[in-house]
Amino acid sequence: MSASDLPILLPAYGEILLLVLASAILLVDLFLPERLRGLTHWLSLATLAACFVLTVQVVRATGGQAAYTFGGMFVADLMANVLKLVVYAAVAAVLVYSRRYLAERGMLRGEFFVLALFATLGMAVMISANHMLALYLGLELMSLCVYSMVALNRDSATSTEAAMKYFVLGALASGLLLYGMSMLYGATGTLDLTQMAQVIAVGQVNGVVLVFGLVFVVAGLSFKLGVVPFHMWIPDVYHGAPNAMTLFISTAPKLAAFAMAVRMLVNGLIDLAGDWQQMLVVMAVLSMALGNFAAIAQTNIKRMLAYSTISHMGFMLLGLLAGVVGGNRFSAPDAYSAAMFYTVVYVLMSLGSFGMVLALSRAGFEAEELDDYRGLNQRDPWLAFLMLLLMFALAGVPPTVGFYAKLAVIDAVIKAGQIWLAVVAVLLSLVGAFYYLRVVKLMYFDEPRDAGPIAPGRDVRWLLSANGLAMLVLGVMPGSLMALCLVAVQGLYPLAR
Amino acid sequence: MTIELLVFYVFAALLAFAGLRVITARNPVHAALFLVLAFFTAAAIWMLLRAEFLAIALVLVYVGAVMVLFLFVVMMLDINLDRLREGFWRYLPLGAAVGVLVVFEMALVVVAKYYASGTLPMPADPGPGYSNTKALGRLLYTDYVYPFELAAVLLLVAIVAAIALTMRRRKDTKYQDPARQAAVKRRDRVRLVSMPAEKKE
Amino acid sequence: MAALPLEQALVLAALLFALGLAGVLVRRNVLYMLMSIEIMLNATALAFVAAGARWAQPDGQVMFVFVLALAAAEVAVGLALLLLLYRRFGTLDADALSELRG
Repeated sequence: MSASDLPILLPAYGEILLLVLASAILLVDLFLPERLRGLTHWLSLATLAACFVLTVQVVRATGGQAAYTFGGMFVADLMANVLKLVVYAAVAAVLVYSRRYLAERGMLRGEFFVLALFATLGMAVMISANHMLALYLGLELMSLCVYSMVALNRDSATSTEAAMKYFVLGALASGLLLYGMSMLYGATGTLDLTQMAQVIAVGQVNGVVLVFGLVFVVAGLSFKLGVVPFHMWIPDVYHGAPNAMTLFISTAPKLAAFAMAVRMLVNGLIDLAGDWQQMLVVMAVLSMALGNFAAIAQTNIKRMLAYSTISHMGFMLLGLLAGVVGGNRFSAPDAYSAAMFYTVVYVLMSLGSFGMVLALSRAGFEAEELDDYRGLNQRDPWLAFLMLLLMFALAGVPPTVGFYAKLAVIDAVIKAGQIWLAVVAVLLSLVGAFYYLRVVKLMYFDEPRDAGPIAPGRDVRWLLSANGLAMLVLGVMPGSLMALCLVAVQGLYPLAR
Repeated sequence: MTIELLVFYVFAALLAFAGLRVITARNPVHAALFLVLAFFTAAAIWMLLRAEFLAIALVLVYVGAVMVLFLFVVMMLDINLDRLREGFWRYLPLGAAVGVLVVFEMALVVVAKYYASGTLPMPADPGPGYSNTKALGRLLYTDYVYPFELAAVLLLVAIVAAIALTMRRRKDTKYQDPARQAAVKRRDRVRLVSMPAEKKE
Repeated sequence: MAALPLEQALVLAALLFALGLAGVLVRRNVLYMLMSIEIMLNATALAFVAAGARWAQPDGQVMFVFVLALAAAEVAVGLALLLLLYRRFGTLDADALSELRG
């Protein structure tokens, strides 16, 4: 083998650096004396920052073009790089938000950081996968880390229960996904997503087997996105996991799940769009309905936000299912970029709202009941205002970015000619607005119940402020992020033609 | 019917039986042993499908490592046999419905000419010089080097996760430190005290 | 060499997969659920090898190697969780896990 046969590593520099540094942190943490344990936190943040910078450099070097390597299994197109940048930033924010929470509960140990970094690596691999196998391995890498992070608080019965439920359902979904992949492989003779798209486009493939495989793949996908019919783990896991882990699960992995859906359905199977779009319609409507109605009945804010996740992911699916109209892909970039925009914005909103839960909790107090938010305005007006912005964004109230994200998706749905779907989505969003605004009412119009001190660190306060104000700033000026999403989606292989 | 076909059917029947017994066995040790049987018969089927390396890997990795781990855990836990069956009949209709549905769909697909090429022949005999292991190895370390590295990371994560979840350093556990034991001097343990002899009253 | 129809291998894979799936749904004991998942993964491996044989590619077998590694990793984490669960609840009955409801 000559040197020219070796894969080009440039597009994967970010992942390679992440792997090397995560392994280094694993070793360094072992030899750190007890009083220097906090160093691991800063090393992890530095790692993420380095990966962020390096990924920006990769974008510069490739000029935003899609770069393939490792025999076409790895692709670094603009969508991959943008999503990876958001993932690195989101994980870094998670680490900042959860530092005090973990320290107070004795969980600020090396395992947490190492698992979080390896999970980040798994997400990056998923985002850049152009091959079913790479996609699957990235998914498992992420999932195994997340299962064990949920159970990391070994003295908590609820965390253990949540982790076990998550694990069993997750393994089941992985099995379904893998079985679906074997069908697709049997029908097309390849697992490479680009080649698969080409084989299907030629049309010499048994449609029955393809659709059969598609059903299994979409079922597996629905688990990872957390939409109906595989949503049942979300409330239990969000509720049972320690707050810091809930924050982690509810943010960056959503970006990876979105990327996975795009890679499989758009990159690989866009010629079957007629079939999978119908499945997504059912999943989206049921998720929005179940998520929004079930959230009303919750008294626990983590559970409420969990059901809200289900409805938001259902809403995001609306963007994915509006791309191909009657075999015509003209409106696909708009629809997919709306979905991508929605996912990124959702991650920001989720980061802020669970970050708030973490900021208000203290030793022995989890701040996870809705009643704990009563009268927050009297106790800390600035945090209450930030929470107000976040809740408005989640509800989709106009000046915030949540409104714009919903508008973009609904616009795509209407352009696809599915007016009834748009009407259903708007109606269900109105139902959803009720429980978000209830939190606002509790904060501003009720008397405080909890009199404990609110003392988030200065770094958390700054980050939360930035996070909350971003809702407003992005809502007023969504243009640049929207344009970025559009360019990123236009670089996808099947849409670049 | 040729002898190979006959052998295939025998092993297929055994595999299905073993699989069924795994999920219906009352005693977890029996279930684990039936799972071992299932893996052994699966290995025999790999042999028939000309996947020799897989057959060996299956026996070594699964039967040798994974199943031993399973049995180890079963032995460690004190499981109440009578409680195991609870809920079995309650959930049976659901499970059976799903199972029948999958088999039905599968049969439908097969009847509709699976993979669109009629009956598929067995892979042809590749000749005496062919080594399945070599072919797999060549592929694994060239085309599939990226997933191979990922799998390595995955195994590392599994080690980290399993240790992080189960290792507990309890404060009341008594450790022995051989280095300290060996370094002990007589004067650390025995104190010679000279006392005046006591007088008899 | 006789023609051994690979379709029958695929039917066997489907049967095993259905058995595993039913096992996860029916058995309420976490240990059995883990074993059923193993059966499911083994069935997908069989489907991959048969599909690979249909295309006369060794890629299907390569997939099996990865599924094997993956299943081993999954079992390690799954059993670790199971031990934690047993320590905390004293049972492996999935129906006993009911602290999280709503």
